[in-house]
Amino acid sequence: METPNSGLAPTPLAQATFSEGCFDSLPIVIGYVPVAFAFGMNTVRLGFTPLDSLLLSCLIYAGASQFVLTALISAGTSLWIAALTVMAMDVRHVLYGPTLRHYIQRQLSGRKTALWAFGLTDEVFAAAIAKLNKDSRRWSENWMLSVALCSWGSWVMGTAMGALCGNGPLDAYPAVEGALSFMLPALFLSFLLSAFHRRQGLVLALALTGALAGLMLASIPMAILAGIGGGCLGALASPVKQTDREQS
Amino acid sequence: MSRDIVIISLVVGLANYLFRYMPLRYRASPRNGERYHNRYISRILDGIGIASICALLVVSSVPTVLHDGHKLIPTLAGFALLIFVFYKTRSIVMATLAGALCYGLVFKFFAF
Repeated sequence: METPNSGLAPTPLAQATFSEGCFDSLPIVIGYVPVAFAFGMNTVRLGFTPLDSLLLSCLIYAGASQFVLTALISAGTSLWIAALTVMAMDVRHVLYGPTLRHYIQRQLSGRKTALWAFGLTDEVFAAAIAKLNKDSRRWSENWMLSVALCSWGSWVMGTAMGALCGNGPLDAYPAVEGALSFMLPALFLSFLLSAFHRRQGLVLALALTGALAGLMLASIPMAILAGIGGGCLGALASPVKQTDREQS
Repeated sequence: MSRDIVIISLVVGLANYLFRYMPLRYRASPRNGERYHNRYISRILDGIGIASICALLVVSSVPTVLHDGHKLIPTLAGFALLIFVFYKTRSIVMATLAGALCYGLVFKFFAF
């Protein structure tokens, strides 16, 4: 027996809204504030002004690279060497655009893309991948814009607080400080659980192995590249999906 | 504010922005939604997302535990509760906050 709706096209899912993005950015915001706070505090301790630290966070907006940059400059490294070092650390971001474009099914608006691209950090990229893997039809540029904007706002606000406070108000509360510092790894694990499909087991295993090996043998930037490299090898070695066979 | 900081912020900020924006601009018009035909590129792009998240998970958690062994148990407890809450609620926000809360509580009440 046919139901009244049979024969009709399925109702399209509503696109994620700007306010939904604000809510979804909450873990990133909570994770960013303490790290940015530490950056602001550390920068002032190294002899920079609060305004310097705010400018670095507003324009560079690149987490660990900012710590490295201020450490290099305060150690007397040439300005251009410091700039090149930081750029080398951040060059991995060129991989994020093509990966997102691979998943995004809708037309991108030039203006909005130019805005949210500024905020395409590791965490925002991971949030977008999790969203797109869950259901790419719900992903929207408004959602992306709000996640990027809230994350950037929290980074700048955290830096300002750290630069102005100067000393660690959380020093007396190590458990709270620990829980806040645990937000970023917790966030990445949540994104991983949300984005992971069973067929990607080999990608997961090789990416974890590559990252751990890179960390033990080299440095954090190398660990990220080794993890991505391992994951790509895993993707190539994984059994071909049905859709891939049809395309080839 | 020193002139050097303004210059380096502008230069590095612009470079970072171009790293993030230019690859998005590439293929950003007429052929939207079209998948890459080369299946090898397509499979690599499929893998980069998960691989990046795995790598970021490792670099954000392992160095802290290696540096301070006391954080191993709170970290494992936080991850375990996070996985449990995620599979119960399917909510990234709830799972992350629950994991962080668990980490803080274990850290405070069970000094290892």
